Amino acid sequence: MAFSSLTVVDTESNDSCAPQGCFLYAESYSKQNISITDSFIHNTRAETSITTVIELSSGNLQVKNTNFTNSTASLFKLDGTSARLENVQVNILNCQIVPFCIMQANAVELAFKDSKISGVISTRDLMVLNSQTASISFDNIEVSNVLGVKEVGQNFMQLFGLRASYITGLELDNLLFQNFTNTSGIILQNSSFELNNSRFTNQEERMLQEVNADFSGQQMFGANFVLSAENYTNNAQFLVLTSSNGTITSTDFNKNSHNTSYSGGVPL
Amino acid sequence: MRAGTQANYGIYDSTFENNYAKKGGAIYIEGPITSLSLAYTNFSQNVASSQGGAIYFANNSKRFENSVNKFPLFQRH
Repeated sequence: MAFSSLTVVDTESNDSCAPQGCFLYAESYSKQNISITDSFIHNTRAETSITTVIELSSGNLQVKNTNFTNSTASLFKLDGTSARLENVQVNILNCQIVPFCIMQANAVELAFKDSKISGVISTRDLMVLNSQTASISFDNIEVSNVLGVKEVGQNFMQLFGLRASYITGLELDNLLFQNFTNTSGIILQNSSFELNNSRFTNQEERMLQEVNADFSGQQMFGANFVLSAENYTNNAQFLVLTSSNGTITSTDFNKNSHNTSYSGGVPL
Repeated sequence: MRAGTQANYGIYDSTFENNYAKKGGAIYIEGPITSLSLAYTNFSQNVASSQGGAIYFANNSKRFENSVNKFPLFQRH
Protein backbone atom coordinates (compact mmCIF):
# COMPACT_ATOMS: atom_id res chain seq x y z
CA MET A 1 0.00 0.00 0.00
CA ALA A 2 1.22 3.47 -0.80
CA PHE A 3 2.54 5.28 2.23
CA SER A 4 3.22 8.97 2.59
CA SER A 5 4.46 11.05 5.46
CA LEU A 6 4.29 14.62 6.68
CA THR A 7 6.61 15.75 9.45
CA VAL A 8 6.14 19.18 10.98
CA VAL A 9 8.67 20.46 13.53
CA ASP A 10 9.10 23.87 15.17
CA THR A 11 6.48 25.41 12.94
CA GLU A 12 3.97 28.16 13.58
CA SER A 13 0.61 28.68 11.93
CA ASN A 14 -1.24 31.92 12.45
CA ASP A 15 -4.63 32.81 11.08
CA SER A 16 -4.78 30.08 8.45
CA CYS A 17 -8.29 29.10 7.58
CA ALA A 18 -10.53 26.79 5.56
CA PRO A 19 -14.02 25.41 5.91
CA GLN A 20 -12.40 22.08 6.86
CA GLY A 21 -8.89 21.70 8.28
CA CYS A 22 -7.70 25.23 8.95
CA PHE A 23 -4.16 23.95 9.44
CA LEU A 24 -4.30 20.47 7.92
CA TYR A 25 -6.77 18.35 6.02
CA ALA A 26 -5.81 14.81 4.95
CA GLU A 27 -7.79 12.71 2.52
CA SER A 28 -8.67 9.13 3.32
CA TYR A 29 -7.41 7.33 0.24
CA SER A 30 -4.44 5.65 1.80
CA LYS A 31 -2.08 5.35 4.73
CA GLN A 32 -0.45 8.49 5.99
CA ASN A 33 1.97 9.13 8.78
CA ILE A 34 1.62 12.65 10.11
CA SER A 35 3.77 14.02 12.91
CA ILE A 36 3.49 17.52 14.39
CA THR A 37 6.04 18.39 17.08
CA ASP A 38 7.12 21.52 18.94
CA SER A 39 4.68 23.69 16.99
CA PHE A 40 2.25 26.50 17.67
CA ILE A 41 -1.10 26.75 15.90
CA HIS A 42 -3.19 29.75 16.76
CA ASN A 43 -5.97 32.04 15.57
CA THR A 44 -8.04 29.51 13.68
CA ARG A 45 -11.57 30.64 13.12
CA ALA A 46 -14.69 28.69 12.28
CA GLU A 47 -16.12 29.84 8.98
CA THR A 48 -18.79 27.15 8.93
CA SER A 49 -20.36 24.73 11.37
CA ILE A 50 -17.95 22.00 10.23
CA THR A 51 -14.71 23.91 10.48
CA THR A 52 -11.84 22.00 12.05
CA VAL A 53 -8.18 22.73 12.70
CA ILE A 54 -6.85 19.25 11.94
CA GLU A 55 -8.99 16.71 10.12
CA LEU A 56 -7.92 13.19 9.12
CA SER A 57 -9.88 10.24 7.78
CA SER A 58 -7.18 7.58 7.94
CA GLY A 59 -3.58 6.97 8.84
CA ASN A 60 -1.51 7.76 11.89
CA LEU A 61 -1.29 11.10 13.65
CA GLN A 62 1.15 12.12 16.35
CA VAL A 63 1.01 15.55 17.94
CA LYS A 64 3.60 16.31 20.61
CA ASN A 65 4.69 19.43 22.51
CA THR A 66 2.31 21.59 20.51
CA ASN A 67 0.10 24.54 21.48
CA PHE A 68 -3.32 25.37 20.10
CA THR A 69 -4.49 28.84 21.07
CA ASN A 70 -7.39 31.11 20.28
CA SER A 71 -9.62 28.98 18.09
CA THR A 72 -13.29 29.09 17.26
CA ALA A 73 -13.05 25.89 15.21
CA SER A 74 -13.11 22.28 16.41
CA LEU A 75 -9.53 21.17 17.02
CA PHE A 76 -9.39 17.51 15.94
CA LYS A 77 -11.70 15.43 13.79
CA LEU A 78 -10.28 11.92 13.55
CA ASP A 79 -12.04 9.17 11.61
CA GLY A 80 -10.43 5.78 11.21
CA THR A 81 -7.24 7.19 12.59
CA SER A 82 -4.62 6.09 15.04
CA ALA A 83 -3.76 9.18 17.04
CA ARG A 84 -1.26 9.89 19.78
CA LEU A 85 -1.48 13.30 21.43
CA GLU A 86 1.16 14.10 24.03
CA ASN A 87 1.92 17.32 25.89
CA VAL A 88 -0.69 19.25 23.94
CA GLN A 89 -1.63 22.65 25.36
CA VAL A 90 -5.03 24.06 24.46
CA ASN A 91 -5.95 27.60 25.47
CA ILE A 92 -8.75 30.01 24.67
CA LEU A 93 -11.35 28.15 22.66
CA ASN A 94 -14.71 29.59 21.79
CA CYS A 95 -16.74 26.74 20.36
CA GLN A 96 -20.20 28.07 19.75
CA ILE A 97 -20.94 27.30 16.12
CA VAL A 98 -19.14 23.97 15.70
CA PRO A 99 -20.58 20.63 16.89
CA PHE A 100 -17.68 19.73 19.18
CA CYS A 101 -14.80 21.60 20.71
CA ILE A 102 -11.64 19.59 21.29
CA MET A 103 -12.13 16.32 19.49
CA GLN A 104 -14.46 14.04 17.64
CA ALA A 105 -13.03 10.58 17.14
CA ASN A 106 -14.58 7.60 15.40
CA ALA A 107 -13.01 4.15 15.11
CA VAL A 108 -9.62 5.21 16.33
CA GLU A 109 -6.86 4.10 18.53
CA LEU A 110 -6.43 7.16 20.64
CA ALA A 111 -3.83 7.93 23.29
CA PHE A 112 -4.07 11.34 24.93
CA LYS A 113 -1.62 12.11 27.71
CA ASP A 114 0.16 14.81 29.71
CA SER A 115 -1.93 17.65 28.30
CA LYS A 116 -3.78 20.73 29.53
CA ILE A 117 -7.03 22.26 28.29
CA SER A 118 -8.14 25.59 29.73
CA GLY A 119 -10.11 28.68 28.91
CA VAL A 120 -13.02 27.19 26.98
CA ILE A 121 -16.42 28.66 26.18
CA SER A 122 -18.56 26.09 24.49
CA THR A 123 -22.13 25.32 23.62
CA ARG A 124 -21.17 21.76 22.76
CA ASP A 125 -19.29 18.77 24.08
CA LEU A 126 -15.60 19.13 24.51
CA MET A 127 -14.96 15.60 23.33
CA VAL A 128 -17.19 13.15 21.52
CA LEU A 129 -15.68 9.72 21.27
CA ASN A 130 -17.68 7.19 19.30
CA SER A 131 -16.65 3.69 18.49
CA GLN A 132 -17.49 0.13 19.32
CA THR A 133 -13.95 -1.06 18.87
CA ALA A 134 -11.74 1.84 19.77
CA SER A 135 -8.81 1.50 22.08
CA ILE A 136 -8.72 4.75 23.97
CA SER A 137 -6.58 5.87 26.87
CA PHE A 138 -6.36 9.22 28.63
CA ASP A 139 -3.57 9.83 31.10
CA ASN A 140 -2.79 12.99 33.05
CA ILE A 141 -5.18 15.39 31.34
CA GLU A 142 -6.02 18.64 33.10
CA VAL A 143 -9.22 20.38 32.08
CA SER A 144 -10.00 23.70 33.75
CA ASN A 145 -12.03 26.86 33.39
CA VAL A 146 -14.67 25.57 31.03
CA LEU A 147 -17.86 27.54 30.58
CA GLY A 148 -20.86 25.99 28.91
CA VAL A 149 -23.28 28.39 27.30
CA LYS A 150 -26.81 27.52 26.36
CA GLU A 151 -27.59 28.18 22.75
CA VAL A 152 -30.63 30.26 22.05
CA GLY A 153 -33.31 28.71 19.89
CA GLN A 154 -31.87 25.21 19.82
CA ASN A 155 -32.82 22.03 21.53
CA PHE A 156 -30.13 21.95 24.14
CA MET A 157 -29.04 18.36 24.58
CA GLN A 158 -25.27 18.49 24.70
CA LEU A 159 -23.41 18.03 27.91
CA PHE A 160 -20.05 19.49 28.59
CA GLY A 161 -16.83 18.09 29.83
CA LEU A 162 -15.81 14.71 28.54
CA ARG A 163 -18.36 12.62 26.75
CA ALA A 164 -17.52 9.11 25.74
CA SER A 165 -20.16 7.00 24.08
CA TYR A 166 -20.10 3.33 23.14
CA ILE A 167 -16.47 2.82 23.85
CA THR A 168 -14.73 -0.24 25.13
CA GLY A 169 -11.44 -0.16 26.90
CA LEU A 170 -11.50 3.45 28.02
CA GLU A 171 -9.00 4.34 30.72
CA LEU A 172 -9.04 7.72 32.37
CA ASP A 173 -6.15 8.47 34.70
CA ASN A 174 -5.23 11.58 36.62
CA LEU A 175 -7.88 13.87 35.23
CA LEU A 176 -8.35 17.25 36.81
CA PHE A 177 -11.56 19.20 36.28
CA GLN A 178 -11.78 22.63 37.85
CA ASN A 179 -14.18 25.51 37.90
CA PHE A 180 -16.69 24.10 35.46
CA THR A 181 -19.76 26.22 35.14
CA ASN A 182 -22.98 24.88 33.71
CA THR A 183 -21.18 21.76 32.67
CA SER A 184 -21.12 18.08 33.18
CA GLY A 185 -18.02 16.01 33.66
CA ILE A 186 -18.38 12.69 31.93
CA ILE A 187 -21.15 10.84 30.20
CA LEU A 188 -20.43 7.23 29.47
CA GLN A 189 -22.93 5.04 27.68
CA ASN A 190 -22.57 1.29 27.33
CA SER A 191 -18.89 1.53 28.00
CA SER A 192 -16.30 -0.31 29.96
CA PHE A 193 -13.70 1.80 31.58
CA GLU A 194 -11.49 2.45 34.52
CA LEU A 195 -11.19 5.80 36.21
CA ASN A 196 -8.25 6.15 38.54
CA ASN A 197 -6.85 8.89 40.71
CA SER A 198 -8.99 11.69 39.29
CA ARG A 199 -10.55 14.76 40.80
CA PHE A 200 -13.86 16.40 40.00
CA THR A 201 -14.36 19.74 41.72
CA ASN A 202 -16.75 22.66 41.57
CA GLN A 203 -19.06 21.40 38.87
CA GLU A 204 -22.37 23.19 38.77
CA GLU A 205 -25.70 22.07 37.44
CA ARG A 206 -27.58 25.29 36.96
CA MET A 207 -27.88 24.99 33.21
CA LEU A 208 -28.72 21.35 33.43
CA GLN A 209 -31.58 22.11 35.77
CA GLU A 210 -32.91 24.64 33.36
CA VAL A 211 -33.25 21.98 30.71
CA ASN A 212 -34.75 19.45 33.09
CA ALA A 213 -31.66 17.35 33.25
CA ASP A 214 -31.15 15.91 36.68
CA PHE A 215 -27.48 15.32 36.85
CA SER A 216 -24.04 16.73 36.52
CA GLY A 217 -20.70 15.34 37.41
CA GLN A 218 -20.87 11.88 35.95
CA GLN A 219 -23.68 9.89 34.50
CA MET A 220 -23.36 6.30 33.43
CA PHE A 221 -25.79 4.19 31.46
CA GLY A 222 -25.14 0.50 31.14
CA ALA A 223 -21.53 0.96 32.03
CA ASN A 224 -19.06 -1.47 33.47
CA PHE A 225 -16.74 0.61 35.51
CA VAL A 226 -14.12 0.78 38.19
CA LEU A 227 -13.64 3.97 40.17
CA SER A 228 -10.55 4.03 42.32
CA ALA A 229 -8.99 6.73 44.48
CA GLU A 230 -11.31 9.46 43.17
CA ASN A 231 -12.03 12.77 44.80
CA TYR A 232 -15.44 14.37 44.31
CA THR A 233 -15.63 17.78 45.98
CA ASN A 234 -18.23 20.51 45.87
CA ASN A 235 -20.21 19.18 42.93
CA ALA A 236 -23.92 19.23 42.27
CA GLN A 237 -25.50 15.79 42.02
CA PHE A 238 -22.22 14.38 41.13
CA LEU A 239 -22.59 10.73 40.37
CA VAL A 240 -25.57 9.05 38.76
CA LEU A 241 -25.42 5.38 37.95
CA THR A 242 -28.14 3.79 35.87
CA SER A 243 -28.15 0.12 34.89
CA SER A 244 -24.48 -0.07 35.49
CA ASN A 245 -22.10 -2.52 37.12
CA GLY A 246 -19.01 -1.50 38.94
CA THR A 247 -16.97 -0.93 42.04
CA ILE A 248 -15.92 2.20 43.89
CA THR A 249 -12.90 1.98 46.14
CA SER A 250 -10.89 4.47 48.22
CA THR A 251 -12.94 7.38 46.91
CA ASP A 252 -13.69 10.62 48.77
CA PHE A 253 -17.02 12.44 48.44
CA ASN A 254 -16.92 15.85 50.08
CA LYS A 255 -19.34 18.82 50.12
CA ASN A 256 -21.41 17.66 47.18
CA SER A 257 -24.86 19.19 47.05
CA HIS A 258 -26.97 16.16 46.17
CA ASN A 259 -26.85 12.54 47.05
CA THR A 260 -25.35 10.07 44.72
CA SER A 261 -28.12 8.27 42.89
CA TYR A 262 -28.16 4.63 41.93
CA SER A 263 -30.72 2.68 40.00
CA GLY A 264 -30.61 -0.64 38.24
CA GLY A 265 -27.58 -2.76 37.70
CA VAL A 266 -25.80 -4.78 40.29
CA PRO A 267 -25.76 -3.25 43.78
CA LEU A 268 -22.46 -1.66 44.55
CA MET B 1 3.26 24.79 -3.61
CA ARG B 2 2.33 21.35 -4.93
CA ALA B 3 4.39 18.39 -3.71
CA GLY B 4 4.13 15.65 -6.32
CA THR B 5 4.24 11.88 -6.12
CA GLN B 6 7.08 9.57 -5.11
CA ALA B 7 9.37 12.26 -3.85
CA ASN B 8 11.02 13.50 -0.70
CA TYR B 9 10.82 17.16 0.14
CA GLY B 10 12.21 19.31 2.92
CA ILE B 11 11.15 22.85 3.71
CA TYR B 12 13.13 24.67 6.37
CA ASP B 13 13.21 28.17 7.80
CA SER B 14 10.59 29.44 5.38
CA THR B 15 7.42 31.52 5.38
CA PHE B 16 4.12 30.97 3.61
CA GLU B 17 2.00 34.09 3.85
CA ASN B 18 -1.25 35.30 2.28
CA ASN B 19 -1.64 32.37 -0.09
CA TYR B 20 -4.93 31.08 -1.42
CA ALA B 21 -6.18 27.89 -3.08
CA LYS B 22 -9.23 25.72 -3.24
CA LYS B 23 -7.40 22.93 -1.38
CA GLY B 24 -4.21 23.57 0.56
CA GLY B 25 -3.83 27.34 0.81
CA ALA B 26 -0.04 27.04 1.18
CA ILE B 27 0.88 23.42 0.39
CA TYR B 28 -0.85 20.64 -1.52
CA ILE B 29 0.78 17.25 -0.98
CA GLU B 30 -0.18 15.09 -3.90
CA GLY B 31 1.23 11.74 -2.83
CA PRO B 32 1.40 8.84 -2.77
CA ILE B 33 4.76 7.69 -1.46
CA THR B 34 5.66 11.26 -0.78
CA SER B 35 7.59 12.49 2.21
CA LEU B 36 7.48 16.12 3.24
CA SER B 37 9.37 17.55 6.21
CA LEU B 38 8.67 21.04 7.51
CA ALA B 39 10.82 22.74 10.12
CA TYR B 40 11.18 26.26 11.45
CA THR B 41 8.49 27.40 9.04
CA ASN B 42 5.74 29.98 9.48
CA PHE B 43 2.29 29.86 7.96
CA SER B 44 0.39 33.11 8.15
CA GLN B 45 -3.00 34.01 6.75
CA ASN B 46 -3.18 31.20 4.25
CA VAL B 47 -6.68 30.36 3.13
CA ALA B 48 -8.35 27.46 1.33
CA SER B 49 -11.86 27.83 0.03
CA SER B 50 -12.51 24.13 0.56
CA GLN B 51 -10.07 22.16 2.75
CA GLY B 52 -6.64 22.55 4.29
CA GLY B 53 -6.01 26.22 5.02
CA ALA B 54 -2.26 25.68 5.40
CA ILE B 55 -1.74 22.08 4.22
CA TYR B 56 -3.79 19.63 2.18
CA PHE B 57 -2.61 16.02 2.18
CA ALA B 58 -4.09 14.29 -0.88
CA ASN B 59 -2.20 11.02 -0.96
CA ASN B 60 -3.87 9.92 -4.15
CA SER B 61 -2.93 6.26 -4.02
CA LYS B 62 -5.96 5.07 -5.97
CA ARG B 63 -5.25 7.42 -8.79
CA PHE B 64 -1.59 6.43 -8.68
CA GLU B 65 -2.34 2.70 -8.69
CA ASN B 66 -4.78 3.15 -11.56
CA SER B 67 -2.18 5.01 -13.56
CA VAL B 68 0.40 2.27 -12.92
CA ASN B 69 -1.99 -0.40 -14.13
CA LYS B 70 -2.91 1.61 -17.17
CA PHE B 71 0.62 2.48 -18.17
CA PRO B 72 2.92 -0.35 -17.04
CA LEU B 73 6.60 0.53 -17.05
CA PHE B 74 7.65 -2.74 -18.68
CA GLN B 75 5.72 -4.41 -21.46
CA ARG B 76 6.42 -7.54 -23.47
CA HIS B 77 6.06 -7.23 -27.18
